[in-house]
Amino acid sequence: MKNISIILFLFLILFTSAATGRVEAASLTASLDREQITLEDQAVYTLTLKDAGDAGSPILPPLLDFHVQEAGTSSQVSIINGSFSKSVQYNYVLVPKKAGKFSIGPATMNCNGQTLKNEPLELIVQEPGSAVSRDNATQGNQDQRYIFAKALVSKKNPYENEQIIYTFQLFRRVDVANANLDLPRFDGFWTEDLGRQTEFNQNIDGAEYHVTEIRKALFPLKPGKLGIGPAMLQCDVIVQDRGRRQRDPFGQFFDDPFFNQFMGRQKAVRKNIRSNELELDVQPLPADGRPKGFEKLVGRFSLSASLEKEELEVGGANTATVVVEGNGNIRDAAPQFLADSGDFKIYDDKPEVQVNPSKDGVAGRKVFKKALVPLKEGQLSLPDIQVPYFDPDAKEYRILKASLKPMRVLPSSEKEEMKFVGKEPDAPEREKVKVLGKDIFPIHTGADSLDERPSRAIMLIAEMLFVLPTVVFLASFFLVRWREKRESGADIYKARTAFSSACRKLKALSPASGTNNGREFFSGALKILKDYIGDKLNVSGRSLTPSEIGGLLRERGVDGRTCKAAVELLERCEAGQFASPLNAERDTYGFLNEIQSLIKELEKII
Amino acid sequence: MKKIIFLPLAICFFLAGFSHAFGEEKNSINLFLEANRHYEKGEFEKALALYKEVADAKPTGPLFYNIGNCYFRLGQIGNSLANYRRALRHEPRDSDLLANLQYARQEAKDEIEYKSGLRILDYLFFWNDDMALREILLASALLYAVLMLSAVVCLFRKFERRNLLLSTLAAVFILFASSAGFKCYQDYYIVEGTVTHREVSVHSSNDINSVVLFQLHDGTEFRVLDRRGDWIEIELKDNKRGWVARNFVELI
Repeated sequence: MKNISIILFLFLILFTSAATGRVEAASLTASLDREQITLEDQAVYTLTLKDAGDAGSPILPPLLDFHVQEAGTSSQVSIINGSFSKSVQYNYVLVPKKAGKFSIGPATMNCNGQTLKNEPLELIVQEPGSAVSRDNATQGNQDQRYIFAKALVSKKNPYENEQIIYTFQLFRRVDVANANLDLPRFDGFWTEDLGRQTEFNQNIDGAEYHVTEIRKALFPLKPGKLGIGPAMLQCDVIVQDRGRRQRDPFGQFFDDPFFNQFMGRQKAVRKNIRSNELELDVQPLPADGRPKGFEKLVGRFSLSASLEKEELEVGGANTATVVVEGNGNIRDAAPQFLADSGDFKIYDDKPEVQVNPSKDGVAGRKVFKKALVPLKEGQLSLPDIQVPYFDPDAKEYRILKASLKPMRVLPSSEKEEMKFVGKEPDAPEREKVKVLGKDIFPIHTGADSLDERPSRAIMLIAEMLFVLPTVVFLASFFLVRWREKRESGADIYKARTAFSSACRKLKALSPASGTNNGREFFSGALKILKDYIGDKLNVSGRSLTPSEIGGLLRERGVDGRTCKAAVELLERCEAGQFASPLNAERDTYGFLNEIQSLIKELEKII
Repeated sequence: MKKIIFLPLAICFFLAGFSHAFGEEKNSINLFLEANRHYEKGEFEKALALYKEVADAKPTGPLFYNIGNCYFRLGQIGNSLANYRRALRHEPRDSDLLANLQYARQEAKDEIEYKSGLRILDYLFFWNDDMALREILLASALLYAVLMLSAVVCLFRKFERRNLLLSTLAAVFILFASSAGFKCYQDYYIVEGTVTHREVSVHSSNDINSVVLFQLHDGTEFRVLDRRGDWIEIELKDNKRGWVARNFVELI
């Protein structure tokens, strides 16, 4: 007995330790490939899940300060001394959004009802150009950065609507591949592309850099401080695998780009290059001296005007062309000229804009055309055309002027009254609404945002609308049925109970019940038959003759043979009341059976 | 006598339950107002955490809208879109919500061409996009009530064309009831989602080592076709299909 207890105890310990061993074996650990990076770098965050079976993948901690990219998983199985072990690594690339010291919280994982957590990690993100940056830089270039980006603007305190040039420059001394550039959003600016990127070499502090440059023309749409965020470039930087080259005795001999690539001595490092942020202080256009009709045209412009014909007849059409051209926000140019008068009818044409982007900015021309139809003859002069604009270099308003030559209008060769159909001359020129910026609408702040009662009330009303009318309908339906039954109840009841009533009465008429008088027997049988047929046909059966009953039965669809049998039986009953009674009890039973058979036959039909 | 003792106890329990419910309501409102203050100060992460806490207990349309705004401000377009879409189920005609949803969709990086098929039910139930499920159910219930009450009138008063009247009402009711069924199917059976990470690889099967078919970016919307473990099979509007890891998407 004692031995059995010891064996059981040993088994218990063995199972307990085995079970404990399984639970303790499952683990979740996290690691970073680097503890310090710069904004240009990215860190690989690895979660290692050991002996967790098929419990799934871990849930990442919140990583709001990083862009997270999936970088694949790998698994490893090992059998050491007969014990099976499996570990799965989940890799994620963390791209920092800002500099600082960040704590990466624990990832979690639910495994067999147990929540696994790892220890939190710390990652320091520094600005590019720091000591970390130099440590991480390509070997051999410790003192100088081998790739960086710069953003600059041609003017940091421009006037509202003044054209400035935004330049993004990527400086590099290494090859790059798979580049993906995200320029900033330029909120608060109107932008124009300035052609394709340009490339050139530049020497900085004795180092030769290959520069890629992208330019954009910006027009600030409102005065005040306006920020331009950093441009982001993601790319694979091709760097020398120096450690490998040092081990190679022929490394120096084959230290050539061709051999490096051919011999696989280069490796690609994913980098996030970001440019500096910019802040502009946009000045409002001066209020003093602002000319009448100024339409926020800022830059340097010229104006020309011409007439298609110098001489024409009354009612003929002439075209006045006004061209504004120059550098600046040419799209906003809107000269006011040639208002409708008693001398002319004027029809506007849609202005044409030609924009020519160049390295130095946007230049272009805007052409306005108006059709003039003279209403009277003679020498008609036209008013001067004026275009006010602001010159940011001179910091003053200027007015461009152009005049059209007088027009000689001859009498019309056709003496017809002119009728013009067109736009009302005084109607203001319509233009599309300019979108100056975009943003989301604000949050809902009212406490009623939490109120779920309207939804519940709607559902309750819907339920009531389904239930109550159903109840009303069913109640009404049964009420109507009950009323109908009550109204036609007597006749229906009689018809329904006629057969059982007739059977009961026939039984009472049998000799066994003591009816011996033959005449009474026939009289009773006649009444039973007539009552049965009368109840069935809803008529007063006793007042009918056998032939009338036969006729009624035929009308109700009873076949001829049954009708004839019924009539004969009725006639025999009538005769029996007055003629000689039945002689024997056997005949009485036979007659009753005939009546019963007839009733059964009729019950099937009516 | 014993009953008299139980009465104050019952009253105490009732009052305790009522005060507990009232306390929860008050707490939710306080959290909501605090979240609003954080949002106004630009502390979007704090606001987001509080809005989420309130939404766990009271999932209303405006709360999902505010959560969507917080995510948008934090630059997480996918999460923002997912919450705007949740809010849309509650408030399908909220103009602010529709504008923000449209703006958030414009901010998504992937441009996907919509390949339209023959969508008869979308045309038949054209009002479904503008009405919440509860509103369609209410309309169906109203029509049902009118049908039943008309049937009651027809039971008591026989008049010409009563069959025509009842058939017409029954047909309209069946149409709206089917619309409610279709809406229910759209809202609860079809699972949709958004990509919530900057760049996500879409694989040919639910295996990390399988071929990468294409890559999606934050804010791309999709429909879920299947789920296996930590992987889901998705379909884009242009009918492209593939498998993505569950960690990188948010299901609506």
